[in-house]
Amino acid sequence: MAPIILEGLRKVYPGKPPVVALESLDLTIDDGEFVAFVGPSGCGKSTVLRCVAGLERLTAGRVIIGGREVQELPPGKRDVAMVFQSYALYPHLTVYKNLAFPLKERHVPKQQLDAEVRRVAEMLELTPLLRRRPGQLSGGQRQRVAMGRALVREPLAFLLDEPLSNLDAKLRTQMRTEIAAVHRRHGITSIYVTHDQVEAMTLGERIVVMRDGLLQQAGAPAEVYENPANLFVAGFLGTPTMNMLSGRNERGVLSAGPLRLLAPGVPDGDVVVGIRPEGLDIAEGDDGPRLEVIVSHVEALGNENLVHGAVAGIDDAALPFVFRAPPRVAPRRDERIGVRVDVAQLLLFDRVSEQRLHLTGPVVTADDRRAAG
Amino acid sequence: MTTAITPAPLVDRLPDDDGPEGARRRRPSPWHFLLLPLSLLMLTPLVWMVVTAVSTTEESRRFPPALPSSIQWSNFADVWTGSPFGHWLLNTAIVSIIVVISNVVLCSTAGYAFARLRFRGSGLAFILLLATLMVPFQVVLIPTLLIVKSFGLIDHLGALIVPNLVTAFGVFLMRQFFISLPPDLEEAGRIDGASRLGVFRKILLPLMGPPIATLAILTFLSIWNDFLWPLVAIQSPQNMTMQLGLSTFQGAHLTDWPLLMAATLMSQLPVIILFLVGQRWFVRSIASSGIK
Repeated sequence: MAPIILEGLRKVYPGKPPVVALESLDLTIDDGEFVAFVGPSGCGKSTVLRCVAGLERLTAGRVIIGGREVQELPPGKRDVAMVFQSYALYPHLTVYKNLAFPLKERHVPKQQLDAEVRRVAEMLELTPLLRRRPGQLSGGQRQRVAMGRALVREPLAFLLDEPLSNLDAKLRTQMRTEIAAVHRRHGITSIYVTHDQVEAMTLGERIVVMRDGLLQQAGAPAEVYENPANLFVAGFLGTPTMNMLSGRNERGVLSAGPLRLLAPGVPDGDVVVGIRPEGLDIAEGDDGPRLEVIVSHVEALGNENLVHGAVAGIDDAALPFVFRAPPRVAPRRDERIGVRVDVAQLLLFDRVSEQRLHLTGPVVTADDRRAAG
Repeated sequence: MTTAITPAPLVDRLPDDDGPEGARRRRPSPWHFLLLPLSLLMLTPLVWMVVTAVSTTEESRRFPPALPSSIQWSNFADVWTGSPFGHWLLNTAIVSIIVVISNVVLCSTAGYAFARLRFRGSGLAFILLLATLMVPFQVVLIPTLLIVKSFGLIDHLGALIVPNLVTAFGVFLMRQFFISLPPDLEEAGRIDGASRLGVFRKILLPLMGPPIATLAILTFLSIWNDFLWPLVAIQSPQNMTMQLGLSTFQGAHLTDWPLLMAATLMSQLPVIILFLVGQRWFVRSIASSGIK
């Protein structure tokens, strides 16, 4: 177990033009912490993992694992273990030999090797499969063997590169629980890379959102979800995604479609108003600020309906808009439906810089202020 | 109204049982009407060779050929005692085995380098290597002879070994197979603590069974059956290889066909045995390399 310090990590792939995969990344991962890197394809999250593992040579920067600078060391000397998306099990070796391989390479005495392999196999319920080859295992079993091979030598850090991507939804949920349990039991510093925000949010003690090789935001999952640093993070996290409305703040009044709001501390200019689906509700009577949504389609999930559509009467009506509705509410296509907006949950972003606009007080509707005045 | 539901079979029908699947496999296909005569046609030279090898000289000159009145086993003994056949067999075996081993080792390592290692000029080097495949051997025969002569290897088994230690085709073949292996395996091996050579030896090579068998078989066949280069490089009978030795049975005016066919049959025995043992690899190697 060891903290991992990433200092000014930069990775440029040569070519015409060169591709900047990673741009000055600084991050400290505490001893025993589980950090999930999340972002769209090509954002540089896997590059971070590969640079920590030693599979990619850094263009600049330092990687410090357990107080030791390792960026010049080959992968085998860094004392890290990695679980690959493809599991990368050695197909010609049995499960036993796959698990034993890292120990054998480190010249662990035979008796100790056998004991370690059997301990890990027992822990991951692989004992009945020890004599099988990877080709004779199911996806979930292969995944467990890959985990076992990484765990068997108690590495300083545990690197997981989208390890659940090849599993079906049910197995993925099950393995997510198992990975969390393994981490709780061993407390090994872990970096988990995924494009699946649910995995990142449920597994990570801290999540790191990446985009175009740049770190966008790092923090506890709930904190990043509730207080996204910019428009990208706000739009990337959350299912269904955050609804965005264009607006303009002029002389202290923010107009976004039919909404008239007072947002203290927000400078005049173009803004984007973000509303998460949970900040919206079916309007019943005149019960506060509301939007009119023209329904395009409804996704019935059983426990709730996701109603998709576009906000009526705004310029960017083409922007998708979605909110949750109880199962009994199933509006038809092109039906207009009133949606109540909880202004306390609105998030404001600068339209140009896409950065979050921080308020000096709660957002209220202009009508509320007038009534109060 | 109720609907009868037919229960699904508990066990799927096996392809080899007596069900419709198995019956279909045994039923003659229209292709058989074409393939059967073609197979017989292909077998004709082999049968003719065997028949001639056990005939007398007179019987071998009959046309159309017919079965001999008695089997002349003495032809095989005559070949063995009347010519340095044992020498030729040994020479061919030495050359073939050394060349096969060196090709497997050198072509796989070079193929790995071209497939996986990033080094300056690797692309250009590989293109140059591929370009050599387009040059017929007859074009480089004389330059090769001059080089071998400068090494002092003329009329020496080394002349048959050194120019064939590694081949551009072998490197290309192995590179293509290495490229098809997922890089994750290699990376996992390196993280698990193996050196690059360790990864090559312990992880990649065991997975390269089919391509190595392909390369070994194709190399063996080309060396065993090579005639032109030994004809140029070897002069003395004790250094001759099998194919060269066989040509000595053919005279300018008269050829003793039974002896020639007996010698040919004996020379092909190792190849036939190899084929019977590794039939699966033979077919796969020829199919996968696209070479006949």
